[in-house]
Amino acid sequence: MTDLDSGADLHALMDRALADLPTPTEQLHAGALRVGRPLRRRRRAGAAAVGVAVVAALAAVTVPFVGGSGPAPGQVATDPPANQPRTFVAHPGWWDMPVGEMHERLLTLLPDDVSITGYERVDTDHAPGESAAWSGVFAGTLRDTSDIGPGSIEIFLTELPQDPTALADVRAQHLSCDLDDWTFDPQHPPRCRNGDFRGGRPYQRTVTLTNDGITYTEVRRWTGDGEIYAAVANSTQRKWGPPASAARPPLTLPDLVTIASSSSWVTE
Amino acid sequence: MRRSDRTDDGFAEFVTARSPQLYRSALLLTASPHAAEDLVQTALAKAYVAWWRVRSADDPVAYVHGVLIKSFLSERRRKSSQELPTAALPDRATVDADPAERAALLAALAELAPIDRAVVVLRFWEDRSVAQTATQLDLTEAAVKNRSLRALRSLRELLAEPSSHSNGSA
Repeated sequence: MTDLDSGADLHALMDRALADLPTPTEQLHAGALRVGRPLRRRRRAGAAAVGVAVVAALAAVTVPFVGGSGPAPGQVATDPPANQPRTFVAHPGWWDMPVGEMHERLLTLLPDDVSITGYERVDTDHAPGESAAWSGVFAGTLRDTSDIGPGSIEIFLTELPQDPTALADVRAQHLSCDLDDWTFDPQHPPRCRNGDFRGGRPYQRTVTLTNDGITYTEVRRWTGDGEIYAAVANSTQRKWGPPASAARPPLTLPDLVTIASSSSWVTE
Repeated sequence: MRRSDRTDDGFAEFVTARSPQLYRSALLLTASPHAAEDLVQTALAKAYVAWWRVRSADDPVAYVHGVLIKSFLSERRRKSSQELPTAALPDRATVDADPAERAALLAALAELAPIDRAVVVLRFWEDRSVAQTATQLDLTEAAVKNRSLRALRSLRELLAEPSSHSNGSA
């Protein structure tokens, strides 16, 4: 198909192949800020002992199927919201909780028959000069006593944007049950429900989705100026893809709602 | 103007100007649009966090490209061998100059070892010297030369085959 007699030929081939490649610049920018802002916030807050939650936020970026604190499944490949926030003033808050503290609090919230078999404490790929410690993010593996197999859990605590337009965008992405942008098997459409209505508006959304044998369940709750995101899946793959690690996730949806609704996440 | 606003503005300008090249490099490294997007976001997030350091670097663009390469290799080291190809995920609709050529190139790159892909990208896409590539990847110059030749030979064979490769994974 192609003759490659030299590196120059390869460069020319790359040039041709990528000539009109569209770049999702807005999406890249938004994703970088979504991950980078919590990290910078921690540095500003001077919480050196606590460190920075790089990998946790990294997980949000590298988990397009499950969404993480970033876009929901499938949304990673769609156009960004029209009114992407351009500025964000970070504040210290409960969303800066160190991962060790999150672990301790999660232990008290799990059902008796579910245990944490491991969790990521440090980011082995943290930004240059930054602490490797995580905060505001918990990513671990759970197992229940029935020994059906392990599964994964993620809990992300994040500050919501202050800008009303940006906040409305995030609300539409995180609390709406309009999941047209999500990618799923038509035979197994996602089940989405809103809850915690205040003033006629939902402050909680739950979604359960099965795709390629992986059942993914997430809860998003808005509390004060922040969001609590909790998700589980019957996969221990880094991106929560197949193969399934168990017949079902380690927690049920009610279990997850109970965990996400706990006031312990917002208590200093 | 607050310091954070200036940082965000400067960062936004950098992303606008540099993300196309970063994304192309990431696509060549990962051979998957989704994985490339993840990788660029990761590198940019790190650049954002250490923006003062990026700005004050001798070559901010090279600095961030270095972060991209490092992130790619780090991710590859961490990745489970059982992980399924990210190409299984639905890809963004694109306007291709030559979809077949791009698909063939990405599929061929996906056949290379990650470190060899990094060598290819640095040497033949970003036009770095052998010495620069060796420094970037923590390899000897001899190793870079060997890997370059080997990768080029593999790509030549793979791309000469008329078979249609599927888009491989990162």
